[in-house]
Amino acid sequence: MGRFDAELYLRLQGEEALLAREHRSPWDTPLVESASALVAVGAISATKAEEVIDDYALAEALRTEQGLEYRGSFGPARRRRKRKIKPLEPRRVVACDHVIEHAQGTLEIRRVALAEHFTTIAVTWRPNATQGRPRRRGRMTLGGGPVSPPHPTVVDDQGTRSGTAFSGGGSELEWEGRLTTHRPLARDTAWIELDGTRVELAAHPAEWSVSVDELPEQPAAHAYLWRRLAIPNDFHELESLDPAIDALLAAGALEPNDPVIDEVRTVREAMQGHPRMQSNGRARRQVPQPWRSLLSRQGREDGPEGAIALSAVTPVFDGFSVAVGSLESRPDGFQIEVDMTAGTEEREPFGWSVRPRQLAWWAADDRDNHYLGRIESWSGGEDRSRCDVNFWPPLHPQARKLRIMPTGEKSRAVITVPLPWHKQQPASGETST
Amino acid sequence: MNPWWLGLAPAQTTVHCAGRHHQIRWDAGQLSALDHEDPEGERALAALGGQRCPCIDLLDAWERHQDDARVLVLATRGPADQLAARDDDRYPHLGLALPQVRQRPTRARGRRGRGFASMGPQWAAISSAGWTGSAATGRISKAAQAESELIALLTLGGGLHDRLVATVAAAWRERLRQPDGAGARVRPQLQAALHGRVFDTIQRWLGGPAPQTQLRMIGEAEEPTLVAEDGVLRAQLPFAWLVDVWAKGIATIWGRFCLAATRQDAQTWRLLAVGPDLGPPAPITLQLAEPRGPPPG
Repeated sequence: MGRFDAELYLRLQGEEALLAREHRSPWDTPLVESASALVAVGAISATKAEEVIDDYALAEALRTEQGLEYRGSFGPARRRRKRKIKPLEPRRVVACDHVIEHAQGTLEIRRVALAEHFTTIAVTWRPNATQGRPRRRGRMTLGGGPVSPPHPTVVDDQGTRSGTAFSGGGSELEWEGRLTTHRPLARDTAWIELDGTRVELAAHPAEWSVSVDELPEQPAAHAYLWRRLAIPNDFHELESLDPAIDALLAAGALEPNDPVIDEVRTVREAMQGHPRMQSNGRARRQVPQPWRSLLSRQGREDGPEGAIALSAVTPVFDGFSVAVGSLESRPDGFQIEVDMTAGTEEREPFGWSVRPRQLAWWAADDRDNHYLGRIESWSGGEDRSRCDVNFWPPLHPQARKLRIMPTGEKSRAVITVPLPWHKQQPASGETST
Repeated sequence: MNPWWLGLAPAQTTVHCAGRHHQIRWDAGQLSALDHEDPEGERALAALGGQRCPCIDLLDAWERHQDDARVLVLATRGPADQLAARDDDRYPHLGLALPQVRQRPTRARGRRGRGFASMGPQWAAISSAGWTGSAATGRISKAAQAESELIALLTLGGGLHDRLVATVAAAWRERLRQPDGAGARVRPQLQAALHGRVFDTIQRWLGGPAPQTQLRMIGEAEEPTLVAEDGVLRAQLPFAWLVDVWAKGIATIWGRFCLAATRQDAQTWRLLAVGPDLGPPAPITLQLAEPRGPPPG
């Protein structure tokens, strides 16, 4: 058998796609899955793989009436410039529970984050016309609503005064987002005033600790397939792992009888449905941890309700630094608010990458239940981004401690957070699965 | 030079140039602008700041891409694989140079050929290369310019698309013959180009559901074959098949798949073709007669 030529493999896939004459939409690039797998195991460079994908994307575009019109919009994600990553700033995050009545509505102050170079205030804005109406989950961007959130002037206890700008999203019923001050307030301020209304910052900070773990060695092909399952793409749903598996088999990076092939297919099948849908028993039994634990609680809606303000910041691991500002648990899942040193270039709607620099968002509790997160909304620029990560299944009602584990290719950070609400809720009697 | 073009009919298309319809003709491996007697002189004038000429720009672009292996990736694999028809002014997404920019004389540059910026309205598509405009504004990368130029070449009518593919294939055939391995860098591209065109031909030839087919690209000294083994079609063909057979439109002839075409003399070819039963190949002799004069009367 001759030496495997990854470029030829990809080009022959491109030829087959062209000959099938199933011309795709311009944002559908069928070679990306195979190419990403081959790049991950070192069978081809990312640059060469992108060149091949681009060749066949253009060939497809030339064969459709409108194809070239989208040529400028769809392409490889911009490459991140190589530079030294610095850890995010330490911050003081204080939980608040303060509502300020405005003529146009109410502004709920949820948290204040104070760092050397910035101050942000997490708020919820409810315009008057919508008071008492049921909350709607749908979102719209700022500027579309009838009464957009206010941007008050903020003062600290040392006399620092600053205007604010709102960023966030919502509907005509409710806006959620952050007020960012134009200049930072004192980190140790005992209170802030928003347009003259004082908000005490007296809440005790939540406990947390952080460490960095190296990931255990595993074959590159296995690592790629499991990460591919753990990091969903917002714009290109994973239709099948087969192109990646076929490419890895062809490259000799996987053996045909490797049990991982069936395992990843089973997990992929189980995850096709909504996280709230229960997976079948076969899936639960046949896959390794942490997936088994994840699937076993899929479909539950028994999560505790509560919120924690966090000041957790990780050191640099795998080229990332992460700050978690809050954890909010609901019956159907939980959410964390994250700042990180990774830009949004990997999250462009119609871009693609054969070597995405993204984190897998894992979490685990003290009962050995595992959770998987998905970035639901994000904003930011080239170097920093801010996002909400939604985890499923819901937190186990009796979990006392949670480890949030943003996971890179070689290492992960582990942010350990005690969960205060388990003391407040009667035990359900349910045992951990 | 190997006269690879022998047997290929001339191809010709019309270009809107300097307010007139001009003819661009490919014949015997060469592209020429029939309405321009002194292309070199016109290039020199343009370099000195004179009006650029679409016909000459087209010749220059052809020259730049005559060994561009990407042509083989983008161009047609056969009659059933056609590029979508395009209106000439539908390329704004590629950074189309503004009309006033297009008509501005280019600055003198040391190297000849600056794209299609001088072409008239008919060449708006080609001017999407935006060479002149982008040189001034820096809006378009050289890679994007080259790509736009290539797209424009591939949309040429009158058979020039096919002649460009033949030209590029012939150039790479020669490089593959060199002992220094000049073709090694693009070998996967060349192999894929052969693969796609062989498979497309076999699909059309045999019809029905596409048979499982395996292709091995062999050297020109090896014997080309097409056999069935265990329900799989196994083809062994050299890259030269693209030049000698496919580009000449004789990939299938009289219901047979042509494995090779060898020139006996300037007008006679000996083909080796295999029938749909995939039995032993049989020779066919093709003779191109001298063209006759116009019909009497």
